[in-house]
Amino acid sequence: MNCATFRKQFSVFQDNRLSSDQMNDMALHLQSCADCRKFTEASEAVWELLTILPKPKLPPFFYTRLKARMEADHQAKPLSWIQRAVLSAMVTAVLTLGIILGSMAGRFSRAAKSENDLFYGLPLEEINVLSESAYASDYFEFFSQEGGAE
Amino acid sequence: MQDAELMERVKAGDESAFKMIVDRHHRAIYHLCYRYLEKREDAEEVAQDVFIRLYRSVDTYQPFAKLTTFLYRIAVNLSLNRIRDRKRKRWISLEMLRQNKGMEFEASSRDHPDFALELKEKQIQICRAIESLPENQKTAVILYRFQELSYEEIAEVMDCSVSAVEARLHRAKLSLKKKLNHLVDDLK
Repeated sequence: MNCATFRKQFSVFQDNRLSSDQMNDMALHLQSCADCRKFTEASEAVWELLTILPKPKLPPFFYTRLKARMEADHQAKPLSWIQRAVLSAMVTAVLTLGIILGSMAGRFSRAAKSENDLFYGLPLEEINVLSESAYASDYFEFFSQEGGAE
Repeated sequence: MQDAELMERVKAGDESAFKMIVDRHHRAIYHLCYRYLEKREDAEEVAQDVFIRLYRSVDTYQPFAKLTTFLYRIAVNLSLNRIRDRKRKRWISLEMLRQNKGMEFEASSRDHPDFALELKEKQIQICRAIESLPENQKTAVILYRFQELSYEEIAEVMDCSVSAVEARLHRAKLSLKKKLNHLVDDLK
């Protein structure tokens, strides 16, 4: 046996998985070859080294916790696709309604602010004596100016 | 009572039979998951997932293979999926390991601090070396070295031939030797 053949089979040799004849051949080669002996010893030492990895402690009450999770999973059933579709449609409707209402409220407050500006600085008595036509013409003039300024 | 018999009882609605199965196998399944995930919380969650899958598949379960093979196969797949999820989330278990958050180390408070530090460093290097193996080789190493399954059992779990297991272990041993040889030299 040569070194290449030995090294091809070293793993199964290490795990005693060869026939007795093959095991003998491998052992004979090992006795006569210092390089392969060194190679095998190093490989076995590394394999042995893996045992220094710790084994974790088992979590306590494994079964109790497992059952609790199974029950929780059972209660929290996932939504069907119809339920998911209805839910997303409702969320979309609420959001759209919010946007529309917000936009309307913004316009209303802007108009209210403009009307306040129209009579700002006029004493109440003067406002009361203004005729309806005066209201209309001032109103029209005010908004024409505001529009022209933009 | 045999596992197949217990599974029949679970199928008939016997909760105590399911408890017996969990009590019998949860240790091995938890250790297997931990060896992949190196974090106790994750290992427990995945181990629970394994038994939940078993419970849900009880109606379709056919005792072609040993129950342990079935459980190991689910555990390996779920653990590998969890690792892939972590990679997607760029969560690196080694960092947790470095921070000593996930892993319990053998060295106790009675050990000399230098020794404890040295041991911890070695454990990290071994974990890193195992982590770096391709999935197939890593699974073969974990099942053989840590779960002590035979080549034939590993072949069943991994759904491959025994010669494929031999090849995977052979390559893994060479790779680990290359990566960890310096630790062995240090011991001499």
